[in-house]
Amino acid sequence: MWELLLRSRKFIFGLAVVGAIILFGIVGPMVTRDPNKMDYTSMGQPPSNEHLLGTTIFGQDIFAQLCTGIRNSLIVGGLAGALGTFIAILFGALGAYKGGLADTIFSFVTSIVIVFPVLPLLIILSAVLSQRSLFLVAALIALTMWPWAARSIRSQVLSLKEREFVNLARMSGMKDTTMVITEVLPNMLAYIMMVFVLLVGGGILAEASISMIGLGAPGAVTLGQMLWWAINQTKYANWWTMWWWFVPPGFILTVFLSAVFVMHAGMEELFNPRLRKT
Amino acid sequence: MVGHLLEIEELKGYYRGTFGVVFGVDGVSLTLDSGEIMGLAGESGCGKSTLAELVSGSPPPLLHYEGGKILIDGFDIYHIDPEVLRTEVKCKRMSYVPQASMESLNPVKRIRGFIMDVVKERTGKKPSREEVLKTAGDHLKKLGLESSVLDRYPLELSGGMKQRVVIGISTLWNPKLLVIDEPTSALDVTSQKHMIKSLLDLKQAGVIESMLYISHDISSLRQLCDRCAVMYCGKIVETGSMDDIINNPRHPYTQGLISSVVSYDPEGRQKGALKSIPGEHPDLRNPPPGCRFHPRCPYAKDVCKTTEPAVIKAEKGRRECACCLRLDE
Amino acid sequence: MMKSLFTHPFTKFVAKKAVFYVIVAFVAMTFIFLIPRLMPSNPVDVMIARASTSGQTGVNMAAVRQFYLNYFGFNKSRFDQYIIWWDQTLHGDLGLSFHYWPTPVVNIIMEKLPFTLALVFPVLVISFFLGNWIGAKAAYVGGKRSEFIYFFSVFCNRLPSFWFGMVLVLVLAVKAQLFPTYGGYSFGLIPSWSPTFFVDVLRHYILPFSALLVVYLGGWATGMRSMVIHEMDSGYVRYSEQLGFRKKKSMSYAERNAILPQFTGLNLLFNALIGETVIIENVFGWPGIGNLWIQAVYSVDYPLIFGCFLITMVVVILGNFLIDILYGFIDPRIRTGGGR
Repeated sequence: MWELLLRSRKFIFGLAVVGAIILFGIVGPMVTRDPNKMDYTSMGQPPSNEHLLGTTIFGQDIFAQLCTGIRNSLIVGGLAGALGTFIAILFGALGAYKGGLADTIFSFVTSIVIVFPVLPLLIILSAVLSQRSLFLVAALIALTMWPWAARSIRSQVLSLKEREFVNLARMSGMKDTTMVITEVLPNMLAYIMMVFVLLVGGGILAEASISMIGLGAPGAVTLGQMLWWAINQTKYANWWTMWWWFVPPGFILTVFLSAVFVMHAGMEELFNPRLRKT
Repeated sequence: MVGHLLEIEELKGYYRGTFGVVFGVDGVSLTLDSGEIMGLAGESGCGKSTLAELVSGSPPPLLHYEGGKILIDGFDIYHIDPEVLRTEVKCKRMSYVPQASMESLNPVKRIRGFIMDVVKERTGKKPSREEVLKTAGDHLKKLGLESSVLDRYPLELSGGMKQRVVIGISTLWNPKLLVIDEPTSALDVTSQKHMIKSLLDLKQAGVIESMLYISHDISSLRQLCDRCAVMYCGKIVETGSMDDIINNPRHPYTQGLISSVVSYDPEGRQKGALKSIPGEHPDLRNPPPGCRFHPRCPYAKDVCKTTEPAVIKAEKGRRECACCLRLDE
Repeated sequence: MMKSLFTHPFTKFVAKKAVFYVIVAFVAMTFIFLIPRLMPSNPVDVMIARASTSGQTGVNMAAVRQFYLNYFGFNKSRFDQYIIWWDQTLHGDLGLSFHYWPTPVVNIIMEKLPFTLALVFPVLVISFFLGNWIGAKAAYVGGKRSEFIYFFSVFCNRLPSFWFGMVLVLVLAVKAQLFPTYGGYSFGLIPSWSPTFFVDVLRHYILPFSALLVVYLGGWATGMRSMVIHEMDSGYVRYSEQLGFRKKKSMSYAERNAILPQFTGLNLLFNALIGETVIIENVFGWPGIGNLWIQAVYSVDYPLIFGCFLITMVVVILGNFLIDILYGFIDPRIRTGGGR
């Protein structure tokens, strides 16, 4: 499977950009200054030699914030993606595999939850939980985003179910759960990866959106939080006067999400033969 | 001047894509005269559908016309203005019924809607609804379909009915030549019989003059065709009258093909077990050098591996065979 | 005739959907009911505590507290609360806002709802038709232009709408001074039906509208282009060409079939759009439900918070239901009840 993937131009390109950003997020905070440290001598300054991306109104180095922000956003996205994929497998794969009543119940629940819009749910859940940490935010995002992924996984499992090797395993008397874990899921690894990648992207965007309105994890620096701080300083100065504050985080977000999309498109071309042009 | 209705000369058509080049049709020549039903036989993958798609004038995106001539009623379809091809040749002189024709109907249009579109596209004018319904209804009756079919969506019809609708639409303008690809392969035996009878009826009624009938099913070819051409590996290996092909096949491949078929044999003339041709049809990306059949031919000699056999014509060009070993015949 | 109406497959389809959405509504309502009552601390106490720190004076806090205790029904059994709450809500009583005491929540929401709907529906409809048209056109022309449109659409679609909104404000409102930077209407103007007010609102509307539109246009264009390209290879399109259709007509066949699956995405996109509009309103200060909601969260005004969520769910459920019906009407396979 990996050899196939490495042949896809889109996948390589997307992965390269994603990898670069992840690297940035890992190494960046280690080599830049403390993002929360306030330098009273240069507050709200545009980019300069001293501060690569300028400073916030409080004198914090934006470049440092960007690095830490990328790291934290990635953490939230990754956690949300992992947890969301896990729940989606539970509701999608298990139910679809067992069939019958279990499947009906699981897919019914999925259908109902999928109607609830993600952001409003996040808003109301964040509003009632006064103590928010990055982990909590990630968990909430996973809880609101899983239905879509569960549906995709379910249809994939349904098609796999009819295949030969599954019937063979079933005849040998394997338990259903064992079967799902050892036979079905490995064959769906590619598909699960695709779902995970999309969930991470969606998770990062959701976190940015929720932080944008002030319902993120207070104190943690994420890309979304940076945007919130940038836009909410109208008490001191109009936010648009400090473009170096809000343009970089959003730009990185766009680049990251585009790269994730291209990666996913590359994977889809490979694993979904219908879309191949050959 | 008496010319052939369909004249194909050294036709080449290759598939080009990221997989490389597939030599689907690699130098094929055949002729068909008005009033004939000609069969095109061969294994899966030999190129007969490719040939049919080239004759249809609208090959699929990856299939490219690479050379040679296709003359339909005098029109060299790959060297004329596409507009002329569209208005003069398609549907009027030549009509194509694709393989798996059940998939050929627009799922979101009722049959009558589709037919009205066809008429509008071909005549350039919006037709009157009653006229179309009447003409189409009468025409479809010839194929054994009720006129209520017109009000249906494709999903409401069975496979056999959809196929007959497609044949009906393709023959609305009484084309001189009907090119029809594997109409019986998706049907059960009874439906196959009805299909063949319908096609013969259409010819009888003068709706179509001639047919190029592509199939791998020898028995249906036998019931329908006057003449037959046998294809192998992108080339034609033998042509002749249907009787000749069945009873007196010359080319080793044809011989193998005929003897691998069960036939109704009341006098028990067929002795021994059914013979099959050993080996597999070669990959058309890499056809064998020399005579393409030599890896599977029981009579293969050294010369077969290097030289492509010339086509030997007999009986004023009505009987052809491409095997160098049959020189003595 | 009536009998055939009842047994008609489309009616069955509508009925099934209606039942489903009623169940969703039920779940949503129960969810809204449970949330404040499952919170770690008593919501009333939280609200009062918040008020005292921000120094709210001039109001009889004890009376307010009692009112809310009654409203949330903390003094009765859970089940009683539940019934009462259903009764209240169905009669349109969503409680009184805490921040805007004693204005009823419903009134506040109804004032702001039109602004949000004015953003949501035009963006939804225009992005759908225009976006799909662009995608189909891209598939039609093919070649390098098609690829360019594809990548451009992908990029637009991946923009976070709120950030793109900020960029638009910076470029078009601040630098170019073409549009106002904030709000739904100019400060000092009183909402009325006068043309001046209308034009003023329109000026404020353009930027948030565009921010959302661009992102969603990109999404539809990307998807439609792929769908049409895929349909172009299908049997019925090829057959129509073999019958002598002009390219325009056979393309229209591909498009007509390609747009069907796009409708299934409309549901999810509608839901996403509602969420994004909330954020956009915050960036632009657009006086809709979203902005109201965020302010309510800041001021810990629980009746208003839950009221906003309720209204959002109502809009979402109704919208989804309508979209499902529309799709069922357009897809002949559902209309005739035939198999898929």
